[in-house]
Amino acid sequence: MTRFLAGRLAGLLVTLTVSSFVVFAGLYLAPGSPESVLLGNSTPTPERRAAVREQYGLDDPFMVRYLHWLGDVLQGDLGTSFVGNQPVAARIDAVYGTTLSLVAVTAVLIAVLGLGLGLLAALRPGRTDDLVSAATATAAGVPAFVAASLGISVLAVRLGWFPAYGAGGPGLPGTLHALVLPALSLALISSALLARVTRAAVRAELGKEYVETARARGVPTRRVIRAHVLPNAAPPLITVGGLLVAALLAGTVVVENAFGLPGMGSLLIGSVNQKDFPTVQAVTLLMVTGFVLVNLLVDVAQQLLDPRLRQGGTP
Amino acid sequence: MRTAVLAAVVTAALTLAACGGGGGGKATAPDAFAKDRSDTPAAQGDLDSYTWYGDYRAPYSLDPVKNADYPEQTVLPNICESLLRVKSDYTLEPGLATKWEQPDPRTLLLTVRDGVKFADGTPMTVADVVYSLERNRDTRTVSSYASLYANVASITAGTGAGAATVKIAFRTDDAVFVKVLATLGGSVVSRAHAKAKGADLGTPKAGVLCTGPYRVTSFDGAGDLTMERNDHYWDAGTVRSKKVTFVFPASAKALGNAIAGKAVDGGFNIPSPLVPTLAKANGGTLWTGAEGSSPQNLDLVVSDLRKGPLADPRTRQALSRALDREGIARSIFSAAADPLYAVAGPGTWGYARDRFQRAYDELTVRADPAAAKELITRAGAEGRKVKLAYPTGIELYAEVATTLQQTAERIGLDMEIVGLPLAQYGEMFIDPAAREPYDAFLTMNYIQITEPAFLYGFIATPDGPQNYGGYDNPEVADRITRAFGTTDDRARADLLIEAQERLAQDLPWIPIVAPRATVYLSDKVAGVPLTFGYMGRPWAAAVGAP
Repeated sequence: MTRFLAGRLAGLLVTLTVSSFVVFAGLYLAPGSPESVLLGNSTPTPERRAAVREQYGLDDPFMVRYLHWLGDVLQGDLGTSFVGNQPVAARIDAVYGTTLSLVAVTAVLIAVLGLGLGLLAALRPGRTDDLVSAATATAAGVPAFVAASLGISVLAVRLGWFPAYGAGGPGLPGTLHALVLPALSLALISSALLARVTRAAVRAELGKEYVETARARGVPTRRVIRAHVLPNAAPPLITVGGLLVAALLAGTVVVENAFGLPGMGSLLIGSVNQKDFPTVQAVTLLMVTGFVLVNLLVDVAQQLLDPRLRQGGTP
Repeated sequence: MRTAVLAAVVTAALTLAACGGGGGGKATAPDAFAKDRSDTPAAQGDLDSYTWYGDYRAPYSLDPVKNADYPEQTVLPNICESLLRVKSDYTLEPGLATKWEQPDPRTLLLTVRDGVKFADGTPMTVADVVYSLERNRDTRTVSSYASLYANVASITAGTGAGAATVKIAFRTDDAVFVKVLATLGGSVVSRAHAKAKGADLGTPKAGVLCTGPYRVTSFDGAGDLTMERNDHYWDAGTVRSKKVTFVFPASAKALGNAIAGKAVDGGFNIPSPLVPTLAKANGGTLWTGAEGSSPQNLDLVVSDLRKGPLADPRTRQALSRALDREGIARSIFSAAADPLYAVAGPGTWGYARDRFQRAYDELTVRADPAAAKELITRAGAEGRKVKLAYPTGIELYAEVATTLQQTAERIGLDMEIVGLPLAQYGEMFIDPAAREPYDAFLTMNYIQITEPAFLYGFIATPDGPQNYGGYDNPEVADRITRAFGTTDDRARADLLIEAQERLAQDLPWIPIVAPRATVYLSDKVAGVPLTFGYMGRPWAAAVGAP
């Protein structure tokens, strides 16, 4: 396990280094410059423009700028945003909580809906299975932004059950209330996919010989399912569920924008438009880190769950 | 030659940061169409709190002079008061100065209001006023209003008959600077606080200390901004609401959702894709101002007057003649805009309106593609290619660009339209190299100071900061420069009208349409200007229950 972890952590470092370079280079190569933010929107005098370019090191060669930035990041300094001269860390500090809560609520929804509906379909062949399958097939084709529009117009505007916009009222209940609709729109596709995978995995286990044998011996079905079917079906479900949750980090960008949630996604979009290099770099790097970390967790969970992997050492 | 010609004309390229949405198509004139009013009905009662659309992004800084764009100019006048204010009809009225006079064209004398306190209870002194104005002249501040101060020679504190005064001396005669004092460029911050915070002033952490009716109680630089009543406000009796929350939805769609879901009670500058829907909305009213209620102008800017087919004035005149401005106003702007025949249209006339109107009426022409085609033939531009750039992500620009393309085609010009991402498009205003590949580009421009001299000085004098095409007509420059020093409003208007007549022939910028002011008010709130006057006064204090 230690060797496995060490290997994965080394891989993580390589991934992060490569992605930091890609992110930095991508922004560097994109047309446009951040000066409209730094200088306000009136045409600057050449001297002022030069002064600002000097202050932010905009004229330094690419590698100098990259290494400088990387060095700062390694020391925990995410830089200073071009917007309002604030530390990037402070800007992220103001919004990451919203995004993490959104991901957490969505993950719970995906797990509950996906596993629940999948199990229901697997264990109740016939009408229920058909119904769930049809519903998940439809839901799997609805992109988050369509789901968001639909949710807003029906559940928020027509029925007034949830806020259509913003971070919600004070305290945890207020926040959760505001997160339900965005989380639902995000969870729709993912939970449908998870439901289909769950149904297939559980069905496959149910058809195996040991289930028949156990049943023939008079072991109650409930116990068979809980003690044997579910643990055996779990590894693929954890892989798929974990990947879906990791992908959420990107999905929040669309949904936060539609619901006006002040999170990392909204910050990213705003910063891209403003060419706020330091913020875009930091947010992207954090999102990539989050993605890679969730993947690592999935792998570790796999290792712990699957005795074959655990006993057999690293593959 | 000219010094004071620089101005706070902000190229609001990123305005109406809308995407998706219904768009135009139908010509439904909004219901609450205010023919002759510059205010919505006044509030009748008090409110505990309300939520307002603070425009398309959160303010970059709370420092009132740092950025001059919609969010800052919507939110900050309520927190940091200026020496003067504009009423909704753009006439000046007292603010932190109770009186102003110009004993001669090179001197402006202001009497500072007595008994004003900052939001922390410390008294405001004439030293705070001088310090705040001087910040605009200090290059280290990087004030957005710096160029407006170019003609200021000195700012000194004095004592009039018992009252504190401030004397502003100009290098050359200056008839228009006084209007700057009714923008955030004339706002007053606490000197002690500003000095203590240094370069951090205006960041969410350091904040700002001013005298306005409200003080910021929560702001993180990205999300909502809340402000609460300033208990030390000198005019406390006029403040109707305890708390105001500003929200900043980035897209028209998100704003539409927020309004539909009653999460927002109102807002200025409603993006045009929302106009048709909101005009029919339940629970609120979309108000549209009269013609000239907004100083916004949508124009086609010629990148370089020395090259390409557009270098020939006849080609520019042909494009202008062929344009169906009324059609654009009706279909793309859902009738919440008017055809524009001079860059400084009715929304920019802060004075001598009848004079400007008479001259403007003469510039008004019907679209005439046949005459335009003939001009193209005479210019020998037939079949030549013009490349036009516009920003993507904002639907109306693409629609206008497409209309222009069809117009050009009809008169024998070949027009290619190129959508640029906002960040790249923004570069066009700063860097000539970014403009180089395009013959022209679309821009939505606005001035906060309703003084055509600023606008024309900006776009039509040789070193005007928005003179992108290199326009150089000594006659025009002469009229504009003289206008700046002419204190008599009618004489100043006449000079500008002369310049305008030449500009209508030369067309370094081709005016297209002027959107009208739009204001959404839910049934819960009332009492806001129906013009851009809100940018020059602490408007939020007057908002209350209908």
